[in-house]
Amino acid sequence: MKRYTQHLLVLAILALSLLTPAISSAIPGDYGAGAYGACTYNTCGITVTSDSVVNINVTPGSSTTCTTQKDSVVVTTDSPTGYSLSMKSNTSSSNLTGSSAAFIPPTSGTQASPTALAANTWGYRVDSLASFGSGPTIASSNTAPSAATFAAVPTSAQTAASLATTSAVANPGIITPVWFGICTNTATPADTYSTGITFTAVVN
Amino acid sequence: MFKTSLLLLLLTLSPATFATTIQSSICEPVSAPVFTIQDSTTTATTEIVSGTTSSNISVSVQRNTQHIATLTSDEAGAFSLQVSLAPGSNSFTATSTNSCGSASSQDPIIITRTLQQNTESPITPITTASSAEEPIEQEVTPTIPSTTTKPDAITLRITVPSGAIGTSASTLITSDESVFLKGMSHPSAHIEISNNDIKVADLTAASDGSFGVLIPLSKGTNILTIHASFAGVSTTQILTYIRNEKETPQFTALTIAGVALVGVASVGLILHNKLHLKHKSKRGR
Repeated sequence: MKRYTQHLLVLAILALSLLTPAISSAIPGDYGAGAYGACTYNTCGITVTSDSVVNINVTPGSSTTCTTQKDSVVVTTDSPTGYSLSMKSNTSSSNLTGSSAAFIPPTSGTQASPTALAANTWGYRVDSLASFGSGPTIASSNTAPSAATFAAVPTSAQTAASLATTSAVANPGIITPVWFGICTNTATPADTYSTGITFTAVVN
Repeated sequence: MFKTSLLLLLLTLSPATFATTIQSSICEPVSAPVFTIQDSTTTATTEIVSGTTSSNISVSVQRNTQHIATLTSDEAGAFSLQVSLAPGSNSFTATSTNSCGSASSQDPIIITRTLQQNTESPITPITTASSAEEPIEQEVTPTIPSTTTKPDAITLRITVPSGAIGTSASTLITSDESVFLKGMSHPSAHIEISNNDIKVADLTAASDGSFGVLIPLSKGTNILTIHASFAGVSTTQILTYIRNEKETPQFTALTIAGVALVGVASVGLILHNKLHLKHKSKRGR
């Protein structure tokens, strides 16, 4: 009976917390103020956005040709303890797959030990994160291989790659530039290759 | 228990996720378009310019820096277009663009249209105050009154190329990889041609209404929709091409004495009358 009462009490608090913003908005002078738990009024959630598609197109020349493009990942939260952003593949493979059996594998590099992209590999990098180096990385298309180092995007079965961790409110949102690069030569058949990845942001 | 439930309630904040696609088009290098022209000097008002570039690629053609047509090269990289010529110098350039955005342009080719005596107005030189000693040539396109007003209706007549075999009024069978489609419509009409709902050509009819363009054909059924429009008035025609594979003819019966040959070959395939026969005698045991 005592446990039943406690459950009822929790439910009542939950219902009250949902009703409170409506009550607050009816009181002149209080609108937009106040705090609920760890978040500021009306912004207790967290959002993450980026480009829907990142195109890293290459027209290979007589030697290895590379393209690097940026995806701006934006995380917004009013959590005073900040957020953590991570990324992993949607599938059990990190290959870029084409319409036929051909694919482009990821680089062998990792965050702890990233490597320059070899021919017919792709990867990501975040300037100044882990062992990537400070950069700055610059967007480029159909250029010679650079010394910039990249890591493989973890598969869905692996631990997601941590991209950013903050400890303060992020409103307006904080941008994390994630660079995706690819290097190919004529050994890779002409086709459109792709894979899906997911960015995940959680409040700390 | 109560405190634990409350704590869980406050700490349970759903993570936010966003899905992104990493996409990479690996493209063949683009071959610069190379033109082939019939005559660099002509009195004709139109001429067919042909060329080669990478296969199955978008080719944009410009005349005197003005875009006049966008078409698609065939599997062999060939493209062809009937262009109208203004009196004087006509400079043509082409740009090939693939899905990676790479483009390649060649040096312009010049086709000079000379005027036939007593049949056309001469080019009118225009002088300006700032450069009175050097007259500037201005293109004079023959004026056709109907092009300046909105027509009640516009015509569209397609000339069916020879070599194809028709099975119905608008269905043709061929084994060619492309077809040069010619037609007549309203002068300066905008002509759009799509193949199986994919736009393959976009051009402007000549001042006499003529147009012509090489259309690549894919294997199987090619439903060509030819849409002509001018001043908001439009008309559409549909032409169906069935492209068969070129096959080695298979003879199913052979009669040497009567010279009767029965066999199967692709429709539209020209059979040359060379017959190599191997005689293999069989001696009785």
